[in-house]
Amino acid sequence: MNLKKYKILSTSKETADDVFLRIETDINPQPGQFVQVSIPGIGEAPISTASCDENFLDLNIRVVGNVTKAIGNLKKNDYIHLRGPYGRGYPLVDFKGKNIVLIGGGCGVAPLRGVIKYLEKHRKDYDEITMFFGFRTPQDVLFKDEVAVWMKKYNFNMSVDKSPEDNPFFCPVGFVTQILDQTKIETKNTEVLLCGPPIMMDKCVEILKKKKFKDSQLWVSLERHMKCGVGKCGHCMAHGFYVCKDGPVFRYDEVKDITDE
Amino acid sequence: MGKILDKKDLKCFFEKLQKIGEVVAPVKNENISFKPVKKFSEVCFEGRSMFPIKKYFLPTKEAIAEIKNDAFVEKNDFKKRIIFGARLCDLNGLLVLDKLFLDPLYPDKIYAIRRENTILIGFACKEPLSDFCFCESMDLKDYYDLLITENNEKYYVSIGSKKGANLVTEYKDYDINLKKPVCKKKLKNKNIHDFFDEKFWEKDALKCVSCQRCTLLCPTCLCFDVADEMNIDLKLGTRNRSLDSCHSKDFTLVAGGHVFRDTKLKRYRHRVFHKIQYFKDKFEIPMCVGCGRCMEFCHSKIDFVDTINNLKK
Amino acid sequence: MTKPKVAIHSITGCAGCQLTIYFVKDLLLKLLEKIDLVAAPMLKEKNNAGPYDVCFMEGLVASKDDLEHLKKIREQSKILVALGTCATHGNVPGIKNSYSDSTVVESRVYKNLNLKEQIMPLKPAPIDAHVKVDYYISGCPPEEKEILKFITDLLLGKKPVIYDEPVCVECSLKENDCLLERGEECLGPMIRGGCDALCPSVNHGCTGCHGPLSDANILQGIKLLEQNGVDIKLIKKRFHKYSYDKFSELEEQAKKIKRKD
Repeated sequence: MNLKKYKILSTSKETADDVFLRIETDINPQPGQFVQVSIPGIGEAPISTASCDENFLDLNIRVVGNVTKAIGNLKKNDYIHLRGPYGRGYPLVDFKGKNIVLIGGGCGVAPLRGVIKYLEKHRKDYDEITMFFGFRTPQDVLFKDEVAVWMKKYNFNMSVDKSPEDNPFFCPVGFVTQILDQTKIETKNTEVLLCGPPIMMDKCVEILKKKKFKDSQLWVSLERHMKCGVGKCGHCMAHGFYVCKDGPVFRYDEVKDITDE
Repeated sequence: MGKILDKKDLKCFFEKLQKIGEVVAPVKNENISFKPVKKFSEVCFEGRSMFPIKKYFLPTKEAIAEIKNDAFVEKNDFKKRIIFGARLCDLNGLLVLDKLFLDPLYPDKIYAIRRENTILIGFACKEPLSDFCFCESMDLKDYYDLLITENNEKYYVSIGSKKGANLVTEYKDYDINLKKPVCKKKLKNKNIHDFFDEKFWEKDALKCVSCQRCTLLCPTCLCFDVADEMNIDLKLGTRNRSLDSCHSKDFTLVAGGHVFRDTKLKRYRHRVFHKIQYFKDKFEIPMCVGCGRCMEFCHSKIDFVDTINNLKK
Repeated sequence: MTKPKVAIHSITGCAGCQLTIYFVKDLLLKLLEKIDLVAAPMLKEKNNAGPYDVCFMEGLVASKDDLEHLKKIREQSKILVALGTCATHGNVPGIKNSYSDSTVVESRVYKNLNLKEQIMPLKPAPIDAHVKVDYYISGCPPEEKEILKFITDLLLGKKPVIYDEPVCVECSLKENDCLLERGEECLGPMIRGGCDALCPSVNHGCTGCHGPLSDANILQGIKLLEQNGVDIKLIKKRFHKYSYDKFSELEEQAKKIKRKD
């Protein structure tokens, strides 16, 4: 099973549904990869990585199922069982010298945080960095402190679907697709990295194609039922791809026909 | 090339195997099933077992780890075993499983240990074992330690590995070509990429009752589920791996509640594509070995070979 | 950890379902260490009213008394579990629904009773016809291991998953010779398993005591039985024995799909 035990350095509640863990480990994933997290007696779940560091690993966990609920109950100095990292992440090394556009929705922003951490470490290797992030409400915004920094440092765009309470980021209300649609983006020498709910990704791809992006410039992260994480158990298979091993990040032209399966 | 055994030698050979480890062989009761056997006379030399030999490498349900004090203790099985009397289709099924479970990047320890500790001795088919056999179309490989072919009161033993060769050093060599069975059923098209559209699969899918027998009894269907089970005291338990099926309706259910393959048609089509196309695109051999069980044991006798043979744009 | 308050209540039925819980023999005491069985009128003299964390409800609604009791229990229970095929599908009393005039049955069974005042019959129906049900554990009687797994999952904080695969799955894994293939009468392909193929393993065709699968292919199932020479009237009787309403509903759905083609 290759499970190893690691110590939790800190935990915090990101939003009402999200918990953030920092784990002491030398697992140093490529941004976009995931780890399998086990809770004895409850089960195992794939969680995408949200950091890029040799000494620790950050996970942002949306509490939706049994395992994520149990992870949410863990505290500082508890131990957690991990294996990985698994899958194919965003091939950032190949994007050297290019403009990078990040588009994320909801907890899909977590893996993109890993990308940002990587880009910050290798900032001089990349040209313009542009971000489009969408959340349900201002209260659902992930990594709030960092968002404040990103706003200043990069071409940062953020929207919220609705704002029933206060809106500390003063961001526009509407879907992320709207701000994407309204913003001019350089298509030349640019790679676009998307992560979010399928519907959001589909709509964004549509808009990007209108903006004359080629399918081969777009990188999407797919969600499937994953059990083993290493391309065996068959659950995540879609049109012959093992999403866990061949993905979860794919170049859009590889997978544009398989979204329904 | 290989060795030749007289009719009476086979029993001695079998008894020699019993000293090496547990011998499992096809036994006939109501149907044929692989079981541990004590006596040579129990072995059934006809037909093929309903359940394939994959159960000795991937048991239908097994604990892969014990859960104790909030930690996992991995389990392993080092039993020496001889599979005696498997058909070539089933042996080729292991070739398919090996591609995944002995993958150098992520080998499966439990599987690898079992594989290493098992000797594979096959029985060649003189003729197709059922009307559904179409192994001839699937280009089976000589994948075994030994393969026994009966011919005119003699047993011709082909050697497929060093492991096998060491078992038969004392017998005489032979040098004749053995005939392979000719199947009436043939798969005429092994590239079905262009036939993904629902209309090609609708008719078959209407007949599917989702009993999952096509996948459970398939020698290469390996899809599995992993789940933790705890005793009522909530302290001790096991992490279990159990055989799953892509025909199960929640097979592609994700945490948010969405099911990707949400109809019988999508699930059936996925199985056929995986067997004939997807696996081959990745590993160069098809996942199907042509044993015909998925049609023979289908309640509705859905014949995917027939369907594929009749595909027309 | 405070023990969850569990109740076992009963309306019209044979009480065999709750007996399954009391018959877990050696495990019953262990189980009672983990739960607080606050009400179980069959077992205990003193029974508390709600609120309950979990209430197992056996039996079906067949009279006005049943309905009042059920509604009261629902209000008092956080989680209401329909236990056994009466509660989940209407079971044997549901056969009455196959008569267009229910008084034909009633007057023959209750010859000397004033129906309206003493019995106050209602159309026999599974409990979800009247109240919201959180989980269904069918079976006549339900399986001990399913009930234990259900309770264990709740205690661990997991959302219980009820097995929903046909009887054929467990039957094939036991390498049983298929009764349907032998030309006999077996409802296996249409019926929810979880019983380890109890009847087919002793050469008796499945009679359907767990009720139909949620996505049973009824039309094809009937065709298979007809091929084996089983009379269509008998097939329907078999279906109606355990779940008249659900089978009628599935049959209707299936016919509609067929008409569309």
